[in-house]
Amino acid sequence: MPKKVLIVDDSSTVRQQVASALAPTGLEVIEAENGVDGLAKLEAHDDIALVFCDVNMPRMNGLEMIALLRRMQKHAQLPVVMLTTESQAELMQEAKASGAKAWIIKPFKPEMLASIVRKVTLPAGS
Amino acid sequence: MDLGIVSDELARTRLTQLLDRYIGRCTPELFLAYRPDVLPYPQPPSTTPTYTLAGIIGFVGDLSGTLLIGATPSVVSACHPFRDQQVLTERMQLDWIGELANQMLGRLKTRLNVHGLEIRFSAPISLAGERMRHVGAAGSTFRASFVYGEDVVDVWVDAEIKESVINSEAFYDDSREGDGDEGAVVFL
Repeated sequence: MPKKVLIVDDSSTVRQQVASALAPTGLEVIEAENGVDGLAKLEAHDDIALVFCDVNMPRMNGLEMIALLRRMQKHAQLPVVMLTTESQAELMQEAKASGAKAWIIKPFKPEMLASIVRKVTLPAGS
Repeated sequence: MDLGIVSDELARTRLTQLLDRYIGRCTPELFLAYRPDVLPYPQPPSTTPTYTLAGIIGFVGDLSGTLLIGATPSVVSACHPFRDQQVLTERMQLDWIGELANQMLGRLKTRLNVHGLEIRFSAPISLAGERMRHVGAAGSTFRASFVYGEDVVDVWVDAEIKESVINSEAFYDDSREGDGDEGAVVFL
Protein backbone atom coordinates (compact mmCIF):
# COMPACT_ATOMS: atom_id res chain seq x y z
CA MET A 1 0.00 0.00 0.00
CA PRO A 2 1.20 3.55 -0.70
CA LYS A 3 2.13 5.95 2.08
CA LYS A 4 0.40 9.18 1.02
CA VAL A 5 -2.92 9.96 -0.64
CA LEU A 6 -4.01 13.42 -1.81
CA ILE A 7 -7.70 14.37 -1.62
CA VAL A 8 -8.72 17.45 -3.62
CA ASP A 9 -12.26 18.67 -2.88
CA ASP A 10 -13.72 22.05 -2.00
CA SER A 11 -15.83 20.50 0.78
CA SER A 12 -13.89 20.07 4.01
CA THR A 13 -16.47 17.47 5.09
CA VAL A 14 -15.74 15.31 2.05
CA ARG A 15 -11.99 15.65 2.60
CA GLN A 16 -12.48 14.61 6.21
CA GLN A 17 -14.68 11.66 5.14
CA VAL A 18 -11.91 10.39 2.88
CA ALA A 19 -9.26 10.87 5.57
CA SER A 20 -11.43 9.10 8.12
CA ALA A 21 -12.18 6.20 5.76
CA LEU A 22 -8.48 5.70 5.03
CA ALA A 23 -7.29 6.13 8.64
CA PRO A 24 -7.39 2.37 9.42
CA THR A 25 -5.08 1.70 6.46
CA GLY A 26 -2.29 3.82 7.94
CA LEU A 27 -2.16 6.00 4.84
CA GLU A 28 -1.27 9.64 5.35
CA VAL A 29 -3.93 11.84 3.77
CA ILE A 30 -3.00 15.26 2.43
CA GLU A 31 -5.82 17.69 1.71
CA ALA A 32 -6.28 20.35 -0.98
CA GLU A 33 -9.36 22.52 -1.53
CA ASN A 34 -9.15 23.10 -5.29
CA GLY A 35 -7.05 22.26 -8.34
CA VAL A 36 -4.52 25.04 -7.76
CA ASP A 37 -3.99 23.92 -4.17
CA GLY A 38 -3.81 20.31 -5.38
CA LEU A 39 -0.99 21.06 -7.82
CA ALA A 40 0.88 22.93 -5.06
CA LYS A 41 0.58 19.91 -2.76
CA LEU A 42 1.79 17.62 -5.54
CA GLU A 43 4.75 19.90 -6.10
CA ALA A 44 5.59 19.81 -2.39
CA HIS A 45 5.24 16.02 -1.93
CA ASP A 46 7.18 13.59 -4.10
CA ASP A 47 5.75 10.50 -2.44
CA ILE A 48 2.03 10.85 -3.12
CA ALA A 49 0.86 7.55 -4.56
CA LEU A 50 -2.78 8.32 -5.40
CA VAL A 51 -5.07 11.31 -5.86
CA PHE A 52 -8.81 11.48 -5.16
CA CYS A 53 -10.17 14.48 -7.02
CA ASP A 54 -13.53 16.29 -7.30
CA VAL A 55 -14.56 17.77 -10.66
CA ASN A 56 -16.43 21.01 -9.88
CA MET A 57 -14.24 23.24 -7.75
CA PRO A 58 -13.44 26.96 -7.65
CA ARG A 59 -10.23 28.37 -9.22
CA MET A 60 -9.35 25.16 -11.10
CA ASN A 61 -11.57 22.14 -11.68
CA GLY A 62 -10.44 18.55 -11.28
CA LEU A 63 -10.20 17.76 -14.99
CA GLU A 64 -7.98 20.80 -15.58
CA MET A 65 -5.86 19.76 -12.62
CA ILE A 66 -5.20 16.22 -13.81
CA ALA A 67 -4.35 17.46 -17.31
CA LEU A 68 -1.72 19.75 -15.73
CA LEU A 69 -0.35 17.14 -13.33
CA ARG A 70 0.49 14.91 -16.30
CA ARG A 71 2.99 17.59 -17.32
CA MET A 72 4.80 17.21 -13.99
CA GLN A 73 7.46 14.64 -14.76
CA LYS A 74 7.44 13.10 -11.29
CA HIS A 75 3.65 12.60 -11.36
CA ALA A 76 3.10 11.72 -15.01
CA GLN A 77 1.97 8.19 -14.10
CA LEU A 78 0.24 9.01 -10.81
CA PRO A 79 -3.10 7.16 -10.42
CA VAL A 80 -6.11 9.49 -10.09
CA VAL A 81 -9.63 8.59 -8.94
CA MET A 82 -12.38 11.14 -9.59
CA LEU A 83 -14.85 11.60 -6.72
CA THR A 84 -17.76 13.73 -7.88
CA THR A 85 -21.50 14.25 -8.26
CA GLU A 86 -21.03 14.30 -12.05
CA SER A 87 -21.90 11.21 -14.07
CA GLN A 88 -21.73 12.37 -17.69
CA ALA A 89 -20.03 9.90 -20.02
CA GLU A 90 -18.19 12.75 -21.83
CA LEU A 91 -16.57 13.88 -18.60
CA MET A 92 -15.57 10.31 -17.74
CA GLN A 93 -13.98 10.00 -21.18
CA GLU A 94 -12.08 13.25 -20.64
CA ALA A 95 -10.83 11.96 -17.29
CA LYS A 96 -9.83 8.64 -18.84
CA ALA A 97 -7.93 10.44 -21.59
CA SER A 98 -5.98 12.23 -18.84
CA GLY A 99 -5.16 8.92 -17.23
CA ALA A 100 -7.77 8.73 -14.46
CA LYS A 101 -8.23 5.15 -13.25
CA ALA A 102 -11.70 5.29 -11.74
CA TRP A 103 -14.75 7.51 -11.30
CA ILE A 104 -16.83 7.45 -8.10
CA ILE A 105 -20.24 9.12 -8.12
CA LYS A 106 -21.09 10.74 -4.78
CA PRO A 107 -22.29 9.80 -2.26
CA PHE A 108 -19.62 7.18 -1.70
CA LYS A 109 -19.41 4.38 0.80
CA PRO A 110 -16.37 5.16 2.97
CA GLU A 111 -15.63 1.47 3.50
CA MET A 112 -14.95 0.93 -0.21
CA LEU A 113 -12.19 3.53 -0.51
CA ALA A 114 -9.39 1.34 0.87
CA SER A 115 -10.09 -1.41 -1.66
CA ILE A 116 -10.17 1.14 -4.49
CA VAL A 117 -6.78 2.47 -3.35
CA ARG A 118 -5.43 -1.06 -3.38
CA LYS A 119 -6.89 -1.84 -6.78
CA VAL A 120 -5.66 1.26 -8.62
CA THR A 121 -2.19 1.34 -7.06
CA LEU A 122 -1.30 -2.31 -7.60
CA PRO A 123 0.89 -2.99 -10.63
CA ALA A 124 -1.08 -4.27 -13.63
CA GLY A 125 -1.43 -8.06 -13.63
CA SER A 126 -0.82 -8.46 -9.91
CA MET B 1 -42.79 13.71 -34.13
CA ASP B 2 -43.26 17.33 -35.18
CA LEU B 3 -43.97 19.43 -32.14
CA GLY B 4 -44.55 22.60 -34.10
CA ILE B 5 -44.03 25.76 -32.08
CA VAL B 6 -44.59 25.10 -28.40
CA SER B 7 -45.84 27.94 -26.25
CA ASP B 8 -43.75 29.33 -23.40
CA GLU B 9 -46.58 28.42 -21.07
CA LEU B 10 -46.49 24.76 -22.11
CA ALA B 11 -42.70 24.70 -21.75
CA ARG B 12 -42.91 26.18 -18.25
CA THR B 13 -45.58 23.68 -17.28
CA ARG B 14 -43.41 20.83 -18.53
CA LEU B 15 -40.37 22.13 -16.69
CA THR B 16 -42.39 22.39 -13.47
CA GLN B 17 -43.61 18.83 -14.02
CA LEU B 18 -40.05 17.52 -14.43
CA LEU B 19 -38.72 19.48 -11.43
CA ASP B 20 -41.66 18.32 -9.33
CA ARG B 21 -40.99 14.70 -10.27
CA TYR B 22 -37.24 14.70 -9.77
CA ILE B 23 -36.95 16.99 -6.77
CA GLY B 24 -39.72 14.96 -5.15
CA ARG B 25 -37.65 11.81 -5.62
CA CYS B 26 -34.11 13.12 -5.27
CA THR B 27 -34.53 15.03 -2.00
CA PRO B 28 -35.55 12.04 0.16
CA GLU B 29 -32.95 9.87 -1.65
CA LEU B 30 -30.21 12.40 -0.97
CA PHE B 31 -30.99 12.64 2.74
CA LEU B 32 -31.55 8.90 3.06
CA ALA B 33 -27.98 8.38 1.85
CA TYR B 34 -26.91 10.12 5.06
CA ARG B 35 -29.63 8.61 7.30
CA PRO B 36 -32.61 10.91 8.01
CA ASP B 37 -36.00 10.01 6.62
CA VAL B 38 -37.00 13.20 4.88
CA LEU B 39 -40.61 13.05 3.73
CA PRO B 40 -42.71 15.26 1.45
CA TYR B 41 -44.47 18.00 3.40
CA PRO B 42 -48.23 17.41 3.30
CA GLN B 43 -49.08 21.12 3.11
CA PRO B 44 -48.12 23.86 0.66
CA PRO B 45 -44.70 25.39 1.45
CA SER B 46 -44.78 28.22 3.95
CA THR B 47 -44.27 31.73 2.62
CA THR B 48 -41.91 32.45 5.50
CA PRO B 49 -39.11 29.89 5.47
CA THR B 50 -38.04 28.52 8.83
CA TYR B 51 -34.57 27.44 7.76
CA THR B 52 -31.49 29.30 8.93
CA LEU B 53 -28.88 27.48 6.82
CA ALA B 54 -28.89 27.43 3.04
CA GLY B 55 -26.74 25.79 0.37
CA ILE B 56 -26.94 27.56 -2.98
CA ILE B 57 -25.56 26.46 -6.33
CA GLY B 58 -25.89 28.01 -9.77
CA PHE B 59 -26.17 26.29 -13.14
CA VAL B 60 -26.05 27.25 -16.82
CA GLY B 61 -26.73 25.47 -20.07
CA ASP B 62 -30.11 24.37 -21.44
CA LEU B 63 -31.45 25.49 -18.09
CA SER B 64 -29.94 28.40 -16.24
CA GLY B 65 -30.69 29.39 -12.69
CA THR B 66 -30.10 28.54 -9.07
CA LEU B 67 -30.88 25.71 -6.69
CA LEU B 68 -31.22 26.31 -2.96
CA ILE B 69 -31.55 23.80 -0.14
CA GLY B 70 -32.66 25.36 3.13
CA ALA B 71 -32.66 23.49 6.42
CA THR B 72 -32.40 24.01 10.14
CA PRO B 73 -29.13 23.27 11.96
CA SER B 74 -30.75 20.21 13.54
CA VAL B 75 -31.51 18.65 10.13
CA VAL B 76 -28.04 19.45 8.80
CA SER B 77 -26.48 17.97 11.95
CA ALA B 78 -28.68 14.86 11.74
CA CYS B 79 -27.38 14.00 8.28
CA HIS B 80 -23.77 15.16 8.76
CA PRO B 81 -21.26 12.31 8.26
CA PHE B 82 -19.49 13.17 11.54
CA ARG B 83 -22.60 13.69 13.68
CA ASP B 84 -21.63 10.84 16.03
CA GLN B 85 -17.92 11.63 16.28
CA GLN B 86 -17.65 15.32 17.09
CA VAL B 87 -19.46 18.51 18.07
CA LEU B 88 -20.42 20.19 14.82
CA THR B 89 -19.55 23.85 14.49
CA GLU B 90 -21.58 26.23 12.33
CA ARG B 91 -18.71 26.23 9.84
CA MET B 92 -18.96 22.44 9.51
CA GLN B 93 -22.74 22.68 9.07
CA LEU B 94 -22.34 25.34 6.40
CA ASP B 95 -19.78 23.28 4.51
CA TRP B 96 -22.12 20.31 4.61
CA ILE B 97 -25.26 22.10 3.39
CA GLY B 98 -23.20 23.46 0.48
CA GLU B 99 -22.13 19.92 -0.34
CA LEU B 100 -25.76 18.75 -0.08
CA ALA B 101 -26.75 21.42 -2.64
CA ASN B 102 -23.92 20.19 -4.87
CA GLN B 103 -25.03 16.56 -4.59
CA MET B 104 -28.70 17.51 -5.10
CA LEU B 105 -27.90 19.35 -8.32
CA GLY B 106 -25.75 16.41 -9.44
CA ARG B 107 -28.75 14.10 -9.03
CA LEU B 108 -31.03 16.53 -10.84
CA LYS B 109 -28.54 16.99 -13.67
CA THR B 110 -28.33 13.25 -14.33
CA ARG B 111 -32.11 12.91 -14.48
CA LEU B 112 -32.77 16.01 -16.58
CA ASN B 113 -30.11 14.85 -19.00
CA VAL B 114 -32.41 11.98 -20.01
CA HIS B 115 -34.89 14.64 -21.18
CA GLY B 116 -32.28 16.31 -23.37
CA LEU B 117 -31.32 19.03 -20.88
CA GLU B 118 -27.63 19.60 -20.25
CA ILE B 119 -26.33 21.85 -17.51
CA ARG B 120 -22.98 22.77 -15.99
CA PHE B 121 -22.77 23.94 -12.45
CA SER B 122 -20.78 26.27 -10.26
CA ALA B 123 -19.19 25.62 -6.91
CA PRO B 124 -21.75 25.93 -4.10
CA ILE B 125 -21.94 28.67 -1.50
CA SER B 126 -23.55 28.50 1.93
CA LEU B 127 -25.39 31.07 4.02
CA ALA B 128 -26.52 31.27 7.62
CA GLY B 129 -29.11 33.82 8.64
CA GLU B 130 -32.38 34.53 10.38
CA ARG B 131 -35.55 35.37 8.45
CA MET B 132 -34.13 34.62 5.02
CA ARG B 133 -36.61 35.59 2.34
CA HIS B 134 -36.71 34.28 -1.19
CA VAL B 135 -37.55 36.60 -4.07
CA GLY B 136 -38.09 34.78 -7.35
CA ALA B 137 -35.88 35.54 -10.32
CA ALA B 138 -37.10 36.13 -13.88
CA GLY B 139 -37.54 32.44 -14.70
CA SER B 140 -39.88 29.80 -13.36
CA THR B 141 -39.65 29.23 -9.64
CA PHE B 142 -40.21 25.77 -8.32
CA ARG B 143 -40.41 25.08 -4.63
CA ALA B 144 -40.92 21.95 -2.58
CA SER B 145 -40.92 21.32 1.13
CA PHE B 146 -40.04 18.18 3.01
CA VAL B 147 -40.13 17.29 6.67
CA TYR B 148 -37.68 15.61 8.98
CA GLY B 149 -39.33 15.20 12.35
CA GLU B 150 -40.68 18.65 13.15
CA ASP B 151 -38.20 20.46 10.92
CA VAL B 152 -38.76 21.56 7.35
CA VAL B 153 -36.32 21.15 4.46
CA ASP B 154 -36.99 23.51 1.55
CA VAL B 155 -35.74 23.10 -1.99
CA TRP B 156 -36.03 26.06 -4.35
CA VAL B 157 -35.14 26.06 -8.02
CA ASP B 158 -35.28 29.22 -10.13
CA ALA B 159 -34.74 28.27 -13.75
CA GLU B 160 -35.05 29.65 -17.24
CA ILE B 161 -35.10 27.25 -20.14
CA LYS B 162 -33.17 27.85 -23.34
CA GLU B 163 -35.29 28.71 -26.35
CA SER B 164 -33.70 25.99 -28.48
CA VAL B 165 -34.84 23.27 -26.06
CA ILE B 166 -38.53 24.02 -25.72
CA ASN B 167 -39.35 22.48 -29.09
CA SER B 168 -37.29 19.33 -28.62
CA GLU B 169 -39.08 16.02 -28.48
CA ALA B 170 -36.93 14.62 -25.65
CA PHE B 171 -38.05 17.38 -23.31
CA TYR B 172 -41.68 16.23 -23.49
CA ASP B 173 -41.06 12.49 -23.82
CA ASP B 174 -42.48 10.76 -20.76
CA SER B 175 -41.32 7.33 -21.88
CA ARG B 176 -37.86 8.55 -20.82
CA GLU B 177 -37.26 8.20 -17.14
CA GLY B 178 -34.28 9.80 -15.47
CA ASP B 179 -32.44 7.53 -13.10
CA GLY B 180 -29.21 7.97 -11.21
CA ASP B 181 -25.94 6.14 -10.66
CA GLU B 182 -25.15 7.62 -7.27
CA GLY B 183 -22.66 5.55 -5.32
CA ALA B 184 -21.40 3.77 -8.44
CA VAL B 185 -17.70 3.14 -9.03
CA VAL B 186 -16.63 3.07 -12.67
CA PHE B 187 -13.14 1.78 -13.47
CA LEU B 188 -11.92 3.63 -16.54
